Formats: sequence, structure tokens, C-alpha cells
Amino acid sequence: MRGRRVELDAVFVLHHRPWRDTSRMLDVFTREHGRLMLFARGVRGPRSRSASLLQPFVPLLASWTGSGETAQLTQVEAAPGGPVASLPAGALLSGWYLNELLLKLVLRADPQPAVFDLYARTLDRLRDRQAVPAVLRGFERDLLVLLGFGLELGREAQGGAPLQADRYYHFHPSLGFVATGDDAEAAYAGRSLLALADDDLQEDAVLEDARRLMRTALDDALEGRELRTRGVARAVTRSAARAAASSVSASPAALPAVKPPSEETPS
Amino acid sequence: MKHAPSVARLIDALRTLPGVGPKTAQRMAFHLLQDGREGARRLAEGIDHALTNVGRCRCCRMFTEAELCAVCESPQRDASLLCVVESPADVVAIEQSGGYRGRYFVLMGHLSPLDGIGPEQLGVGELEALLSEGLVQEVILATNPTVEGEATAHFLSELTRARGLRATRIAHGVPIGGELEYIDGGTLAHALAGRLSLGQ
Ligand SMILES: [Zn+2]
Repeated sequence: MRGRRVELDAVFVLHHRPWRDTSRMLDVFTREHGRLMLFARGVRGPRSRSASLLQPFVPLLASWTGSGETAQLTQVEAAPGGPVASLPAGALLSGWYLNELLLKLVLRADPQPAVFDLYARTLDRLRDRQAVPAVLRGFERDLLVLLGFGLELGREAQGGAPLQADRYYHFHPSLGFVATGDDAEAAYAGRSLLALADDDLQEDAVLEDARRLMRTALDDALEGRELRTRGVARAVTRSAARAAASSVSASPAALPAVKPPSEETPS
Repeated sequence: MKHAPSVARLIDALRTLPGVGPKTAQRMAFHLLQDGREGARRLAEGIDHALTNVGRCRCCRMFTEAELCAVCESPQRDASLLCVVESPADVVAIEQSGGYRGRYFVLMGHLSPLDGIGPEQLGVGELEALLSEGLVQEVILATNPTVEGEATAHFLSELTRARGLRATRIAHGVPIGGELEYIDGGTLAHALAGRLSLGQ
């Protein structure tokens, strides 16, 4: 496919792998052309000026030619006014989690500008060091809504009656919310669901309900595919817990209690 | 043209080398079989011998033929300093710079959550055991200045500091002899963020 040429579309690198000695294959999310693979020739090594630019989580403007598996990156620059640095190190695991959701849920070559803008805004919130669980739950909710996975917060599945704060509901991924008794197992409090719809994610009980709901909805959308970033985040948390425990036993007075790394953990 | 089965097998094997595509592999195979037969035999024996004899250092995971590598075994090295690197090539590069007298730990990679590469794959359990022995006082995080390298350094610095040990990161920025106007924005931003006070 020669001749097709795209100039300076907004893009993020979602994933990359080395190709031969000096090149990279980039899995990018572009604002106007959706997700695609770009072949970036000669971008590794000390003489490449774009090596430091072509990192995940940095807003870029890119030009390329061709399409499908043969698209080639021809030019890349930092998006004007955007951050030139990546995410803070403590937010990187969360960032990769967002990337994995996009890689698994957004189809190739299917333009999703609203999802692109959601992703950019979410990275900004992580860069601003906002509370990570609330940021991630908001991203998951909006992603599922924008991609049309039928998550309709705020209404009952049958009849469409508005959810009520003092009632309890079951969630069925293909159907929606069904009212149930307040003692029903795994039921969600109406007030949690309304708070999630309003993006009012501060209380622990609301966050926990939101985490459980999003997990169920995402598992359904992923159709049984595992999220690798979740497994790695869990292993990182376990290592940190071991380190915290060893510091307590080895030198009780050396350090204040170590903050659990839960804010790094996607879900 | 179809190659003889043994030739095809050799070409296929050569393609496991980094940066070697089908054309290069064919050129190499023909060279080895034509003029380079003596060298080819040495190559085959060299690979076979190395595969049988070279393992990983029990302490730092560097390639070695003994249980401990030369660095870990040397009484001259400062066991209170531990430099964590991504690859054996990084150990060689730092050794050649000549300024480092401590020991190493080789991760054989970096955190890459999208590829499922986490603490386990990087031998972090072994690193934790090493830190628990109590000899190490400072962990120098010399992973690459990539997103993956930064995430790895951050994770390991938390493990280190939780044990009450000092964690340091190698400085990144403007290369010696470099001119600012030719340096990309990302590197400059990093260099500015890591600036040092003068005259102290
Ligand atoms: Zn060693």
C-alpha cells in the first residue's frame, strides 16, 4: 500500500519491541487512525535522537507512510505543550495496566478519538499524582462505556428505573443491574453505583464496590484473557510486603512503618 | 532453490543470532562450509564447550564457569556496594570504565509487565536473599534510562530502602563532550531534573 501518508497525528506508544539491531516495532494508539503497528527504523542506539522520545506515556506527534503491517514511522516529535517526561516511576505499573486494557479491548485500525482523549486525560491525572485507585476506576468505567460494552450505570436492566441509593443490586455483565435484597451475596449498594456514575470515588466502601464491579465487567469484556500487568503488579506488591516485614524483624527502630504499595497496584 | 536438509538446518540455526536474517544466515552458512571449515569446527566446539561449562554465578547471576564469578570471589571487592544492572554486557561496560570496586547483581532483563516479565523473572528473590545477608550497605541502581529501566529501579529502590539500606541511581543526562543544542528534549529534561549544586 504505497502512497498513503499521514502527517503529524497525535499518538502514544503503547508497547514496543526491538527489531533487528537498530529498529523497533511500535504498537501505537493514534487519535485519528486508531491502533496500529509502526515500524521505526534506526531508532535504537546512541546516535538516535528519537530514542528518548519514543517511550510509552509521552504524548507525541508522528507521521508515517503505508498501512497494515508495513506502516513506517517517518517523523516523530514531542506534542507541543505536552510533558516531555514519562510518568512518575511510582505510576508506571498503573500506566502499563491502562496500555494493556487498550491493547486488548481496542481493535486495530478502529479510530476512537474519545478513548484517545480519555487515555491522555488519565495519564495527566497519574502525572499529577492523583489517588490511583479512583483514577483507574474512572478510566475503566469510561472505557467500557465508550467502547460500547453496554455498561449502563444508573439504571435497572429491566424497565430502566433509576437506581436508588438505599437499595441493593446484582450485576450481570450481559444484562445490567437487577434489584435484590440488602442481604444478597455479592450485591452492590445503590449508593456505590451512583457514586461511580458521578465520579465521586473517595470513600473506601465505594471504591471497593467500584473495583469489584469493574473487575466483573472487564473480565466479561476480556472474554477470559488474562491481564499480564495484573500478575506483575501482584508480584511487585508481594515483594514489597516481604521487604516491609523484613525491616520490621531486622531493625525495628530503623524506619517508620512502610506504606503498603497499594496505590501502585492496578486492581 | 531448495537447500540440502543439513544446510537448511544450519541456516535456520544461524538465524537465532541477533540481527541475522535469512540472507545473512545463508551467507554465513556457505562461508562456514566453503572456506571456513577449520573455523567452523572451532565455532561448533566453542559453543558446545561454553554451553556445557558456563552457568550463572550463585551470588550475582553473571556468567561464570565456577560457582562464584571472579568479582564475587575477589576479596579486593567491596561487598558493601552492590550495583544492579540489566545485562552481563552492562557489567563488562562498568568494569572497563575502571572506577567501580563493589559487586554486581545482574537482572537479565527489566520489568516489562506487558510481556509478563516481573520480579520472579528478574531473580528478585535471589537479590532479596543477598540483601538479607547483611553485607550490602548501598544498592546502586544502574538499569537503563528507559521507562522499563526506571520502573525497575523504582521498584528495587523501595525494596532496598524498606530494609533500611541506601539506594542510589546512576545519573543520566548530557554526554561528556556533547553540545546542548543537539540533545533531545527528553534527555535534557532528565538532566535538568537531576542537576547538582556546585561549589560544595
Ligand atoms: Zn558473581
